Amino acid sequence: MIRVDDLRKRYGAVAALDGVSFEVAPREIFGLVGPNGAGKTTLLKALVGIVRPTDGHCSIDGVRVDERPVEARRRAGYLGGESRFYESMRARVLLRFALDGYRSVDWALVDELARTFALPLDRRVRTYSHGMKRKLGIMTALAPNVPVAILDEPEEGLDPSAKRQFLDLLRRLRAAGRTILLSSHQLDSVAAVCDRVAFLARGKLVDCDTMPAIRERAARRIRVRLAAGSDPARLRVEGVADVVSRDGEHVVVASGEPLDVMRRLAQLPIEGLEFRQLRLEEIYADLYGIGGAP
Amino acid sequence: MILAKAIRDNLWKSIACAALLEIHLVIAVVYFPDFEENIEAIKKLVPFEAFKKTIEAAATRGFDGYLALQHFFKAANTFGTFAAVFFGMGAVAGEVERHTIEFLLSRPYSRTRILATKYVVGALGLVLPLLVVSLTAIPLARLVDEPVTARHVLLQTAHCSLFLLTLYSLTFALSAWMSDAPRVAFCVLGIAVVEFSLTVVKEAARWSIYRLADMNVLVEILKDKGLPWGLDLGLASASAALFAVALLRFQRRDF
Repeated sequence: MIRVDDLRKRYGAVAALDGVSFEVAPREIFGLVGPNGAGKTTLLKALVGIVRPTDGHCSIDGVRVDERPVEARRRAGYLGGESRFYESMRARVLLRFALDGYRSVDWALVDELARTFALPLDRRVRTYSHGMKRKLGIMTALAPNVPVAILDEPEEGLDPSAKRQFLDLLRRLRAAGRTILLSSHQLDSVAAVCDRVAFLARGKLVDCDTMPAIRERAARRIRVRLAAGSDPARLRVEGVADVVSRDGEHVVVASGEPLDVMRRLAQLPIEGLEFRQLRLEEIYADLYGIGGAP
Repeated sequence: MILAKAIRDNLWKSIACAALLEIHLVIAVVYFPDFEENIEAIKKLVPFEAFKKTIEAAATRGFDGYLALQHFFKAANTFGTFAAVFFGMGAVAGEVERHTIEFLLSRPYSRTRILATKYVVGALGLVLPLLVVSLTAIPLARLVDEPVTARHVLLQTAHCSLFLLTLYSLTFALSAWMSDAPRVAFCVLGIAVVEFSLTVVKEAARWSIYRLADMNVLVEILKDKGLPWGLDLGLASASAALFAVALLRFQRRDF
């Protein structure tokens, strides 16, 4: 449904995107995570033609964005991470403006979301709080009856209750056939709702996998605090595939049964040993060592 | 909806522009008998030779000449310059500055359509007030029992509109290039001030763009010579070229 093919974008000497490729299947919620400056926003902007790639291309529902940008945008609702709305417009007028140009709009969903989010649509946008504007943005991106929704940091500014309603809505839209590409720093939400997650760092796709596969890999990771003066090389006991050291902590990646590895590690002079279900942001920081948790 | 928004954005500017021009025109018309009576004294008061000649040129053509001086040369060129900048400066740079450009460009419209709509609505917003106010000069002239030739009024309006459109197109092109609307205004008004100041320097006057819409040009229209076609085609071509530059830049620009 969404295809990104060797996408590159350079700003002078800086490579904002450096050969990114992936595909998002129909009815999939695809998460895009990475630290600030990783290229997430540039990638999403390229998908709707706001940024022109230096090389490579992308398509939405089979339509090449560089060849038929208007047709591609007609197939995707978009919420930008940096975009603001016309403050002098009333919310209802802004919605009409935002949704004009799409072949079909789910006005029932607009009404439902206005009620759910408690948005007074007759008020001018400038009287809205930051969170209310974000909710309005979510409505502009999800109300068009289109196969794809592209959302950049949609939860930024949402309160916990609105966040939960939003995640439920994403699940509902997926069930109804919508494909959703979601960029977020809220890794708990990504873990909760996404079928697959791609990790971006410095314009490159570091990894891309399903949530179960990521969890499976994370389940093979054991955090170890060595006693002072101990050599980290000793952690490479039988059944250990790799040792990643950061900030005095060591993450042991088990290639065999994690419990057997833990028994062997327990024989070493260690101060602590931790084996638990890691959160996505810990996996993110541990797996790739790309600048800490976002 | 893009068209409706562009109209809404420009409507109040156009109304304000028309109101200013109309107020100036009414005052100018009512003042005409005094001007006619005191023309010699006024000429003596004028500090620059260039302006003296301008006033002489107006005085020799009666009320038509006076109208050309007050309404077209003075009001249209000065208010019009500000209006041209005001209408063009925010077209793209304003959207970038307010961070609304991402929202606008993610709508299912082509960049050409977005820019062309903004350009045309802004251009109409600029020239329609001039046309409407200029036409009111015909009934207003009855206040001072003077005849006005409608054809002259229309031709002068057309010429001044083309001149202002060129300034508007320059502003529009800079707006497509830059990300800061006040800076766009500062650049164009800076150029306009320098160009206008050249008109009072005898040796440099011929380099001023305001010569393209000065009393010499307007008086030629009053002599029933019709529009200065060569000049007007040049102005129209410059506007078209500047719009093309704006479009090219807008289509290639990343936001």
